[in-house]
Formats: sequence, structure tokens, C-alpha cells
Amino acid sequence: MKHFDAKLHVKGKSIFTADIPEPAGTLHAAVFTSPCAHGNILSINTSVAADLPGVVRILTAKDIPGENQIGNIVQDEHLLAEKTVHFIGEPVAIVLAETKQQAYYASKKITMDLTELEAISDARTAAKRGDLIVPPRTFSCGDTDTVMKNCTHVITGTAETGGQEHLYLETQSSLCVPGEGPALHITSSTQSPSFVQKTVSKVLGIPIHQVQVDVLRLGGAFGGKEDQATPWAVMAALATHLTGRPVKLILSRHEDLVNTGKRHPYSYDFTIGLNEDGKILAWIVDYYQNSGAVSDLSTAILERSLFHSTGSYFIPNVTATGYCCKTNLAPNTAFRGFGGPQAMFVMEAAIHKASIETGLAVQHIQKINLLKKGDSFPYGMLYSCNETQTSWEILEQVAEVSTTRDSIKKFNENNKYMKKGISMMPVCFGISFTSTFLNQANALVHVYTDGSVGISTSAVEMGQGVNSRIRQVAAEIFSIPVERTKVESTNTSRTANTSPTAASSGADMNGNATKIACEKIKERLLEVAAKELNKDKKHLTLNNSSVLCNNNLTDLSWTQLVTIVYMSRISLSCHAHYATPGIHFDKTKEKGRPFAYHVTGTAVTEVTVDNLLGTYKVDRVTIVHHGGDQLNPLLDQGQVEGALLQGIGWVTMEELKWHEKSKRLQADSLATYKIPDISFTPESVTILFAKGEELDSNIGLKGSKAIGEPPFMYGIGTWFALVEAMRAYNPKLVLDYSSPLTPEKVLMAK
Amino acid sequence: MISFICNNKEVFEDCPSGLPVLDWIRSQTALKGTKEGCREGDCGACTVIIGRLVNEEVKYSASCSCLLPIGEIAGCHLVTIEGISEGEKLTPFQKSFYDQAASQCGFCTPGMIMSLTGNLLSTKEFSSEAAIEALDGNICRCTGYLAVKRAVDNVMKTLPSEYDNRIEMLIDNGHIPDYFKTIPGRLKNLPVLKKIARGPVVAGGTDLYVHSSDNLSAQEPTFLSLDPKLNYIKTDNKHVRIGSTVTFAQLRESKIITELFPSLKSFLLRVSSTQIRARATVGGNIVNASPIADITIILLALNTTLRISERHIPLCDFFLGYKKLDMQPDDILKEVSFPVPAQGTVLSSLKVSKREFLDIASVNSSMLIRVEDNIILNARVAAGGVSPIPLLLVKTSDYLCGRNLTEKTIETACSIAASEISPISDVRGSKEYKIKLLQAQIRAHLTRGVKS
Repeated sequence: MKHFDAKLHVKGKSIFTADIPEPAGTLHAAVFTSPCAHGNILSINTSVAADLPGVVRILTAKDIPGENQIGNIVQDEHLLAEKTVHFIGEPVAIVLAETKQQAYYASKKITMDLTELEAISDARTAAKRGDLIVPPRTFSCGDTDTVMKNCTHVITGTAETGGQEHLYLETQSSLCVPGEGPALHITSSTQSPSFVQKTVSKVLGIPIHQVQVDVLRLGGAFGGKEDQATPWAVMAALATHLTGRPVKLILSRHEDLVNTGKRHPYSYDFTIGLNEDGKILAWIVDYYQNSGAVSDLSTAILERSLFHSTGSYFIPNVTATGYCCKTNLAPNTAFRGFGGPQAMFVMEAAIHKASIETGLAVQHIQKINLLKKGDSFPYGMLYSCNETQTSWEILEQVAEVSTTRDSIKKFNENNKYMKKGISMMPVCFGISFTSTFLNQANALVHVYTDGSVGISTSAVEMGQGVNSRIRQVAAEIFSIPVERTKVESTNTSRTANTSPTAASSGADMNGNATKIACEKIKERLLEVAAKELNKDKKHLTLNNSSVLCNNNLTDLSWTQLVTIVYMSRISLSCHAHYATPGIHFDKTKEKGRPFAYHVTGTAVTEVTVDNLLGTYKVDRVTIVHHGGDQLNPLLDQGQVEGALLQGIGWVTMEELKWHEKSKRLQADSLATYKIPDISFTPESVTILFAKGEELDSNIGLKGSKAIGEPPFMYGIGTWFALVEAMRAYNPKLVLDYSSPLTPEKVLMAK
Repeated sequence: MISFICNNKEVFEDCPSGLPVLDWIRSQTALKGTKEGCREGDCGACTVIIGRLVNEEVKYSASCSCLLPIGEIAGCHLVTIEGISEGEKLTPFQKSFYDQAASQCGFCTPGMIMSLTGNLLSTKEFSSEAAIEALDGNICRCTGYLAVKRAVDNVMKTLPSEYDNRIEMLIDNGHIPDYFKTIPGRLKNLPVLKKIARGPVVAGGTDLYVHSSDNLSAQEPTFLSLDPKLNYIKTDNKHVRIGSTVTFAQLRESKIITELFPSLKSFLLRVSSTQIRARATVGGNIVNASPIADITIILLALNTTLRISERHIPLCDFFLGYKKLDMQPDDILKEVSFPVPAQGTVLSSLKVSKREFLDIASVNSSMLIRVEDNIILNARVAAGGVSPIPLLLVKTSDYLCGRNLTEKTIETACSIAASEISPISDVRGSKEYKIKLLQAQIRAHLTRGVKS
């Protein structure tokens, strides 16, 4: 099985938003954004820009006919700034010109008079001042106060994780074309076509049905186009609405880096209590989430941190509290893992610190606390299997962890500066949107009279291969070659009221919706076949583009059958809706069963650090991952490998820095923000897919398991392996549990 | 009018010669496979292959089209992703990427395929290692590098080790279409219309176009790289002379350079990327005056003299302050030369950056050193990122000359080095880090470097 989309990719024939031929008369938009992190606007001076050649119109907040509001969960975000700007890169005005260069040039000639206000970029400072987006939220179980007092070992500490730029290779892009009357057709590089559609409707004050949003594919997204593709699409729509002309808005890389939010930096306080054997009895953790200037998806991301507060471990007494701290940075947003990686990092940091302070081995503490079947999470759900433990145990065997440890010890004894380190990283990640209502999807399947099949779903293809999986499902049900199926663009007129393609759930939900639709059509086909062949329907099956009766070939081929069904005036189309069964969550009690299932696995990471220069490399990563009944092993492999490397990037070289005073992003180009390249790839990566717990095939697509996000967190193991290699050089090293561990931090560690 | 062959078609284009090739490509309806990812040569999504007629033969190399002015490809063969396979056909790399799912979102894929095909058209020997090296300027954020490696391995092992004619062999193996055979003849017959240069001087332009693309794209720059008189590496065994438009790639491939400094060949992989090294020039690196310029730091250690217009000036005196040069607006840097070091001299070069490849150094340094019987007979050390200019560490170098190479010497050299630098805290590291890093590099030169 392949990633079918790639056949076009390799020839450069796949079409991204920027590649769509512009209709005649297309205007190009450039956005003037705030140069100031916090200030009251006195005036926006557009007259110089407006007089420049090619400039057609300049739009500001006062031109918005509907509501100037694009907030998703909390209504706190303007499309264009009104009285105050809250971060550098906040959109203020839209320049429309005949060419991209003219628009861009003119946007640089807009100025703004403002009174600067104090700007902050630090989450803890915001928390101290009470600048929170929503009140703090706590998940708890047991009695941490009492139990902590009675623990043999009580360790407290702090930790930090940095943000992460998505750096999808395709920047935020949109093209809006006017239709009849107020109707608009918007092509957007979004993971959430329905959210774009709804927001356009609100901002323009036109009904949702007048707005059609179409998405063919994205050049990477990783969460960065879940909420943050919206403003740019709405701006293009606003411009078309007001000028009657097509409008194209594509961000430059620099604009995309500065204007859009990133993975949330977190700061943590923790107290962990263990008994003398290393059993974790109590866990108190505070998450200070740097949400940025507006809420975006921050509250949902914090919620997922709370859900993952105990990582892969069972802890009977937990108090986890989260703060969405409002700062003057671009609004931080979804990024693969969605708050999970942050929660898991601090959990591992606490165990690591406990190991140092108690003298118990890290792997010992990790292992004896791993989740077992029947253990309950702080939010009340029971862990349904023993996968966490089995993945750990299989990995210990296949990666020869104890032998490796011995050879590392020997290597370290024989080298002064070059030291090796090893770590184990278990991952347990909940699958489903934590907002239960989002766990629904649609599919519309048409069988055409030549026997070819067209499928529309609410899933957005962004490289993860969801369309390939969907095609596989349809091809299998109809028993036709996959080449006879096609997944159409994601279009709000074909599938309405859709959830974003996110939370690793795209294939599960949309694949299952497709399955329901295809099975319904198949039933109709077999009914007609039964009549045509004069056989009992229950003896008939579809196989290899033919109809079989009692497993014997009949005269009826797939294409003939389809034609007969059409001539019989029976529908060859079906729309189906899927809702993930069995999930619920009561926010008043913070208890329930929010996840359809958990995805688990364990990684072992080996690294070498040059402690003289502070440089390092990742030598080997071995992973045991529970993937269920894999539907497309090739895609799964790519998802695990890609997520792993992205995770390693997060904890090593990917460092966001903001100018201390101005709060301007310093890592604002690819020259200053570095992501893993091919040479940074570990020398050896081995991924062993284990089937693991049987999964209801109506939940995981045909028994396979979601794979987008969970493997990202294997990358966290690299941070802890590096630290071991540093401690081998300097046993007295004082750790601040601060990620990313850049070469600078390695060299400067004391 | 600028004339070139784009894929299989002669093109005559009336546009400013300063226009980046990427902008021309993106304006063509049928050429949407070349992607814009960053416009600073850091992602490789816009990689194309440029073939230039040199002595009856077309020499190909991969290049970032975002940093490549169209005037520089006058009379050349421009190959985009659309030009390497016709119709429904897939080249072996394209097929292998598809088979291995080495393409996820697909945005970086055309650039990767072009880098790999460019490598086949230009590399001395076919190996997986060299092919992977050729991807040092291509970023994939789906981080599908492991699948890419598998895809590349599968193709590279199918290539013959011996062949008569590279182009014919690549055509026979399906890597390029048949029309490549016709290109040398067609390029020879292509009328090249000279444009009058009025704009700024460009020598490669791989940094200039990062910052000033908007400004340059409407101009008619003077392209120094088109002047063959400025492109040579020669030696009389006393001095090495390098024309100012010699590219980093030429430097890396030069026998003269490699014989003198064997370690440089692999170190130069740390400098920019394959696509940039094919274009970036020695002269450009110096005149651009970045305090962290990799090549300039090496040349400082080598005791280089510049020939600017008809004047000679030591490189260490050329930088007057941050981006301030001892040079007039009309001056042209023509040649750099340095003495051939005495037998037994070693050049040790180090660079530490967040990412090992295609990154700008936090601190880089080079030490030319000769040690005999544990006595330092000669040492000359230069460092970048530690001062407003690329800095020759005069005191440190003086101190080292004549000393025994002992732990105490190393310690003292490190503290002297710290006294003659003035780093600032910026996105590439804190001031304190840069001091400590330079000291660590000096220690590494004197312990690891002298052994190489």
C-alpha cells in the first residue's frame, strides 16, 4: 500500500493553493501588521501607501461589515486591530494591489501612531499579575496533601519547555473568488474548512451557505493550520466581498514566522512523592502555559496537558493545575501533541530528578510505575490494557538495553570529552478530541456509471496520508483496485459542519464515515445483483471487480452491476455520518471517558555528546509502537519516523527567542530557526510495530490505531539521553530541566 | 532580452536581469512544481538545475532559484522538475520516492528530486553518501528523511560504476529525458543578447539576494561570476592564487587546495549547502563582510592578501568595522592569495552552530599550525562571531609561536584569546557562550586539530 498522493508530488504536479492559476483580475493582498507588542492605536496612516502605483484599496477594521471577531473557543480575537495591538505581527490593515510586489511594497509604507503599553512575554509574570485567559483549571484524584506528607522521598523542582515553530513548508495561503450575489469560493490552506467558513460568515455578515471553502491539500500543517489559517482566508474573503474581485493572500516565510503562533512554551512547578522503593504515590504539578495574546486553542491545549499529567504512569494521588497565561506574543496554537508533550516532559523531568536525589535508577522508577490494565487516570478513565508494560519489556529485549548500557559505560570510561547517554521514553496518548462534540465526521461517496468512485470527506490531506487510507477502505469494501477510487478536495458544500483534521483522528473518523457510506451502497448493489442473477443476496459478494455467488464467479462485473443499478434508478451515492462511540466527559467534575482509546509505545535513545564543544548527535533510536491492525504500514512508518524527528528537534535545536525589550521574535527566518535536516537524522532508527490490544474496528479504522501525534513524544527521550551523556562528563551537573538543550546549553551547563 | 533553454524549450524573455529565476518560473503556468519555501536558500524547495556550456560540454549543478538572478542563466539550460521526466514517466528517484513514501506533504519533494538529479549530473562518483550529501540544502518538515535515505539507497545501487558518456548513461537509465543530448548544440546556437549592466555588482549573490531581492529584482546588475578572467585557482608552489569568483564548490573540488589542506574538503561541507556552494564565491564571502563568514575565517588563518582593483592589501587589515571595508564603491576584489605553508603545517577548522549543516556559526575558527617535537613552530588563528569583524587573533597567535604544546600553553592561549575578542549576545548565543566556545575551539585545535 502506498501514499497515493505522492505520485503527483514526485513530479511536481500536485496543486497547492499558491499553484492555482489566478483568475483574470485577481488582486494581491499584503497585510500590514503591528510593529509593537502592546500599544493603543492613535492613528493608522495609509494615505502614502494608498497613492502608490497599483494599489486598489486599503482595508482596516472599520471596513468590516459584520463582526470583527475570529475567536474560536473564546471570542477574544479581532481580525484587524481596532483600538489596541497586543503582539508584534497582529494584523492591522490589508493592502490590495494589482501585483504582489505592489501590495507588499505599499504595506511597508503604512505607519501607525500609538502609545506603547507594557509588554510581557513570560508566562509566570502574566500569572502573577492575574493575566489569565480563563480561570485556572485543576484535575485531581486521591489526596495529594496528606499522602505527600507521608512519602519517603519528596522532590520539588521546576522545568521549562520552549515553543516550536511549525515550519510547514507551504506558508499560510488563500485565494478567494467571487460567486453569484454575496457567494464566495475560498481556497484555503486550512485544517478546518468549516471554521474558516463559519468565521467568514460572521465577519462578513452573510449566511454560512454563501461561503464555500475548498481544500485540496496542505504542504504540511502539524496543527499550525488548525486555527491559524483562518485569519488569512477571512481577509481574502473580506477583500473579495468589498471589491468584487478575486483576491490572493500568501504569506512570505518571514511574515508566517512572525505573525503566526507556535507550540506553547510552558513553565512548570512540580512536587513528586515516592515511597522507598520508588513507587510514585503523589504528584502535584502546575502548568504555566504561555498562551500568547489571545486564546486561540490554548484552553483546549491546556486541557490535554491536564489529561496527560501522569504520562505513562499510574499515580494514585494527583493535583494538576493549569494556567493559560496571557502574554504579548503571537497567539500560540495547536502543534502535534497538543499539550501532551509538555505534560510528559515535566513528568519525566520529575522522575529524573527523583532518581538523582534518591539514588534509584531512572529506568527503575519509570518501570515500576508504568500503567497496568485497570489503573485509573486522574480523570476517571480506566486504562484498558497492558501495552505500556509490554512495549517496555519487548524493547528491553530487542534493543538489548542492559548490554548497551554496559558498552556505554565502557565507552565513557575510555573517553574524556566524548560521552554517550541512553534513555527510555514511554508514551501513552489519548485518542479523540477532548471536546467530545468534535468527534464526528462526514463522508459523501458517489459511484459513477463507469464504476469509478469519488469520495468526499471532512478530512484534509496534509501529507499524513489520510486520503490514501480512505481510498483503501472504499477499494476494499467494493473490492475494486484503489486506482478506481479518488478522494476529492475537502469542500464545505459536500461535507458540512466538519471538525478540523486534527487530534490524530482524521483517518479513524473520516475512514469510518466512508466505510458506512460504502457499505450502504454495497448493500444496494448486492440487492440489485441478487435480482439480476436471481440468487439470494446473502450468497453474493463483491470480489476483484466481480460479483461472486457462493465464491464462484458470476457473469456480473463491477462495472456492469453499477450500470444496472443506475438503470434501475437506484442511488449510487451515499452520505454518511460517524460519531465516535462511547466517549463522554463531565467538565463540572473533570471526570469521564474522554478518549476512545490510548496509543502506547516506548523508545530507547542513545546519543553521543562532545562535552568539549557542546555538540552532539543522536546515534540510535529503537521504538516498540502499538499500531493495532495496521492499514497502511508504509504510512505508519513515515508518521512515526517523522514525528520522532520533529520531537527530537523540539528538545534540541529548535529554539525560539524573543527580543527582551521589544518582544520581537529573533528567530524570524530559516537562517536563525533551525529544524532537523537529513544529516541530523539518527544513524539508526528501528521501529517495531506491535499489534497490541484488540481495538473495536468501528473505532480505530478497521482495527488500526491513530498515529499522527503519539510518536512525537518519543523524541523527548533525546533530551534525557543527552543529559545522561553530560552527567557522565560532569557528575555534579546541576540540571534546570530546560528544553531545548541547544549546543549552547550543553556547553554552558554547570 | 535574456535567452536560455528552459527544459526542452528555447526562451527569450524581456525582463530585468536581476529578477530571481524563481519569480520567472512561478509566473509560468506550466511550471508550478518549483516551490517557494523561504526565499533565503535555507529550504531547497525551489531547487533547479542549471547547465552551463563550458568548452563544448554542459556542466550542470543544482541551485536555489530564489537566490539566482535570471541574468546569470543567460545562455544556460534551466531544468525544473517538469524537465526531467516526460508524460507519465517517473525517473528512478521519482519512482523510488513513491515506492518508499519518501514524500509526505509533497511540498519539498520536487526540490529534493532536483538536488538528487543535479548530483547525478555533476558528481565525480555515484554513491549513496554523496547523494545524501547533495540533500544538505533541502528541508523536509514532515521529517521523512529516513524514507528519503531508503529511497536514495535503492536508486544509487542501480547506477553503473563505469560509463562512457554520463548524459547518455543517465538517459539510458531514465534519469533524464532524451532531449538532454540536444542541449549542447542548442546552447551553442542560442543567440545571447548582451544586456547593459547598470546596477550593483553581484558575485554569486547568495547573501545579497537574501536581504535585497526586492530591490535587485528590477535592476540590471553586473554579474562578476560571468567573467572567466576572475575564475581560477593556481599555484607556483610558493603562493596560491584564487580568482574572486571561485565558488565554494570549486574550492572544495580543487586538487591544489585539497593537497595542501586535506581536512578542508570535508569541512567545506559545513559551509552552506550544495546549492549555495555552487554559486557562492570566495570574493563575495569576503566583501559581504559578515563577522562570521566561514571562508574568510579560513583565509585569515592562511595569511591571505587581497588584490582589489590594482592594490594589494592584507585580509586582516581589510575590515575596518562592522560591515566597513577598506574599499571604494568602484573597487572590485579580483584575487585572494596566500603563501603555501611550510611542510608539516596543518589547517584546523571548526564551526559550532545549532545545526551541524547549513547553519551559521555561533563561533567558527581556523588555526594554521605547525608543531614539531611538541614545539609550536608557527600558529595563526582567526575566529568569527567574536567581534564586529572576522578577526585574526593576533595576540593569541603570537603567544603560541615558539611554545611547548602543553596544558599550560593551551590554558594561557585560551585566556589571551578571551582578552582580544568582544562578542555580543544575539540569536546565535550569549556573549559568555561565545567566549567559552572560542576557548573550547582553541583547545580542540591544539589537541585534536594538530593530529589531523
